[in-house]
Amino acid sequence: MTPSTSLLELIAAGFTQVTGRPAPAIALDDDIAGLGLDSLAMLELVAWSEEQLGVRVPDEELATVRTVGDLVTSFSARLDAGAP
Amino acid sequence: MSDKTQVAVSYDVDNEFFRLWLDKRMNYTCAVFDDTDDLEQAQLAKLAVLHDFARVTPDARVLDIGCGWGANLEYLAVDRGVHDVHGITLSEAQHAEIVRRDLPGVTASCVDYRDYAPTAAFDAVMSICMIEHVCTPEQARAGQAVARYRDFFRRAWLWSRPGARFALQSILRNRVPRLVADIREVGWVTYQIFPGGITPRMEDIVAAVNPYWEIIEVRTRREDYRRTCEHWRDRLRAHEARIRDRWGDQLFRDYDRYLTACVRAFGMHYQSLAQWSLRRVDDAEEQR
Repeated sequence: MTPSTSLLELIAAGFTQVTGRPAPAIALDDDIAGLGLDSLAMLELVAWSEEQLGVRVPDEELATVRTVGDLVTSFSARLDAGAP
Repeated sequence: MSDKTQVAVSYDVDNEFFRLWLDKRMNYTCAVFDDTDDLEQAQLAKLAVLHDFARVTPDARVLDIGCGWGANLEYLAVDRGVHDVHGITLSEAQHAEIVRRDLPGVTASCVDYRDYAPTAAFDAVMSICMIEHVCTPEQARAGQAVARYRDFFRRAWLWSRPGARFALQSILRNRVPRLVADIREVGWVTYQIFPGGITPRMEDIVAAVNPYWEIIEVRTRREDYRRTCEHWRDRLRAHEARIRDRWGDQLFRDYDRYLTACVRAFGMHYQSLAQWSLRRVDDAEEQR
């Protein structure tokens, strides 16, 4: 399992946590809005994921997140650098 | 841009409702509490700061974009003796209030700023907490915020004379909340009280003023806005029985919740406020 795969699984779990619905198939190039998450739900997903990973994505970087891949990249960068 | 229907949700509730808990001239924006704890004085202090930022003189022709119920128009015309002041608002209720005040040297248009066409250029431009309506949450999410704000600043540039100053006051979106309850309250205020709008991030404004305006001075006032919201909530609660009786329980509950959310948002750094003094870059389009 690659790091990206495990982060995708985490994001899928976060989707279910936030929405109460089963997660759809999630790919790196999926637009987060296209998954049916509004901006508030996305923030809840980010907050939940950060807590699971023990990282924190800088606020100005969050403002530029559009796709699932953007989020995976942000989480990966924090994990590679050593949390948080 | 918030459309006319969305603007009506925010500002056309009833002028008499807002008159109960705002200051006398009905400033609905952050006051400046440098030397006072009195809301009336603090709102005048705010207008004085912005007057100075815009380098307004009595002979200047001044434009106020998003002029609300006319507090700044009245301050300029009555307190500062400015002879030619024009305000634009998209709210019918606010425009009606300005007309009712019948202020000397003051005119106003009820128009979307994107459709506004001035008859002559302005020496000074002011805009007090209107830029929050320029970009929708959906546009911000799609990465279009800087382009939307730049279009706003370009229009102000086109409407102004060489050497003009622009006094801008804007709420800022700062720290992103991580607590679920706070995320939901900020979202509720965004979508229920101010639909169609979103507060800008400071870095987006810094990017968007270029190439049209040079930033001369910026002053943040997060604590001042927290205090302003506390004053508004105190005054709202002082009129609770009257509000419930005249406009219903839901309106009181909604505005108490909204102002409580704002007090917390400014306290937690989720929101801040900035006052900007901008100078027109006269050769902006020649450099492109």
